[in-house]
Amino acid sequence: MKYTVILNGCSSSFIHQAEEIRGFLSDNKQNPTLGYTIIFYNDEAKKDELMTNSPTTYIKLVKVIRYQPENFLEILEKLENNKETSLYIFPSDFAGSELSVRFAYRLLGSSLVSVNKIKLEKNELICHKALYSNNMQGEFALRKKPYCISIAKGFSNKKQSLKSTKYLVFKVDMTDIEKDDFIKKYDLKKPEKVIGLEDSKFLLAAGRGVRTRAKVERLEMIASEIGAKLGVSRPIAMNAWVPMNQLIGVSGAMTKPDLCIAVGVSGAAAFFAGIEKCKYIVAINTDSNASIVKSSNVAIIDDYQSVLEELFKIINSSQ
Amino acid sequence: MKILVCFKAVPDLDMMSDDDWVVDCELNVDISFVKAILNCFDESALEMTLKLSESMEGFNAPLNLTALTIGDKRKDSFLKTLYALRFDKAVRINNYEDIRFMPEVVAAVISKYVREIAYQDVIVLGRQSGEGDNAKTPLLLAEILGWPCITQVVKIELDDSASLKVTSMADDGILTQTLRTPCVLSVGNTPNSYMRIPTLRDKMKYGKTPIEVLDIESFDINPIVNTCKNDCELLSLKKISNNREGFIIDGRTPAEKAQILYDLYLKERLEEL
Repeated sequence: MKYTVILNGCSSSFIHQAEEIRGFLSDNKQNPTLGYTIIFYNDEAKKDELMTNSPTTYIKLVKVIRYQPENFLEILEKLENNKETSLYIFPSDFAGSELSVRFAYRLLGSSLVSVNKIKLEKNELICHKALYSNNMQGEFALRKKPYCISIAKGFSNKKQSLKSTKYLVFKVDMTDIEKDDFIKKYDLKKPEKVIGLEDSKFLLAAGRGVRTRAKVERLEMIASEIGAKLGVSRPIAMNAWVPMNQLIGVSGAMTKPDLCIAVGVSGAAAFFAGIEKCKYIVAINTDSNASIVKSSNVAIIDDYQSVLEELFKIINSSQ
Repeated sequence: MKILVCFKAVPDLDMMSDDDWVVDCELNVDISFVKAILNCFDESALEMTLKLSESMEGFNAPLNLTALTIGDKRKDSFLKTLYALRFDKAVRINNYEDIRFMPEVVAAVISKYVREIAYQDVIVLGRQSGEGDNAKTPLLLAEILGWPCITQVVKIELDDSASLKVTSMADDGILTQTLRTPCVLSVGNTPNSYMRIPTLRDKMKYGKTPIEVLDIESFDINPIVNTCKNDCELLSLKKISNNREGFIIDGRTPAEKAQILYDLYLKERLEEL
């Protein structure tokens, strides 16, 4: 059985993509398997770094102009028309989710997005993924090869060691592929503020109970003073009171801090998935029936503002 | 320019308590008692399109807006609201089948509507919706139609009569592209995109416009349903439990509770950070 990982080496998130795929492969060891990684890249200077971080020993390098899904799909179709690969694994990012589905359609295979566990059987791939806005876990059988999956967020584990030996199977220049003539103008701007919620050790999480922009700004200030980062639930982000990259949950950041203080958070499953891997959760909420209370390690049932301001004073005076 | 916005009304799952998540032998969860809301990404898609339409008032470039949903008669209230918000046409494809995990069927139906019933220049829809959380429909739709697809769209502006300026979130930043139509736009996390509420006057004036109802049977979905059942079969469904100790700190005042929290549970943890 052969599997192939597809990575976007044109992206600044390449290392993260490679880490999460290594985490996924390590949690889902299949026997016997032979793995390849196709890495798209556009910068010759970065080739060594891309190869070193590859999650598999065997690597295929494909040079492109930039990430463009229509072009990537056209190239993959050309390169992978030999039907040798049973399973394609894509990272959890926007590109991975998109490519997995569209590539499966083109290869007449089957696809599933945000998969968190797999088991390869003779004629099917058993996959697990979250459903019902993260309230339920579903088990699926994919039966049409090639199986194309994108993995769920949260598999990144920086402690894993890299295999030292890497073999370059081939290197090919596909910069002449142009399936993007529907684009008249193209402008990519880097985000102004990188938050890094995923790597934060201490998180202050704010939810719907924080009702105004001024209160969110106060939380930003408290978070910064006590050495935490502020993340928010969907209603706060939708009001544009903070940038969208501070959103926590299935459609935002999947964090794994050592400590999280959740204020005014109801604990909806789609949000909780974003702090599920937190080692210790403190909930402050007026509603003792809010699901965050059951999902926390310790909770205070009270107005979050009063408690947090008192806590802020205590932490400040102890520093 | 003809724009089709596809949306789904979904159960408000935040209203479900832990005990409500009961799975029957056909792997269904009873959500009939929970109120239906617009899928959040579809709501953004609808509002985004209304903003686009609004921005074109006074220009000599008419925009024709159609809203389409697949579902039973209970979804009509959403379509009536969209008429009141000045959508030109509201279409419901009547369906009682369980297609929760069959985005292939949804994409096939929409593509058939566009190819055979009412051609569109642009299709806008949310990137995924609760229950199935398949996150596949816009992508499959683009593939079936052979159209390009832009994902994680957060803003749509008109460029000229046959092209749009589309802003989307990419893995490496914010992408702004001017695109020739036709195209599929898959809407992602979009701030300030709660759908507006129609005025009472518009509700009275436009809300009673007849909804176009089509039967899903006429879209010849049975072969696709059978393929889906085999190619990607749901085998089991289990509630995810997030429960921890949930120990509640007792105290008379917020100050006292904060002090207990700090002394017993936070002090050491903060020192270790």
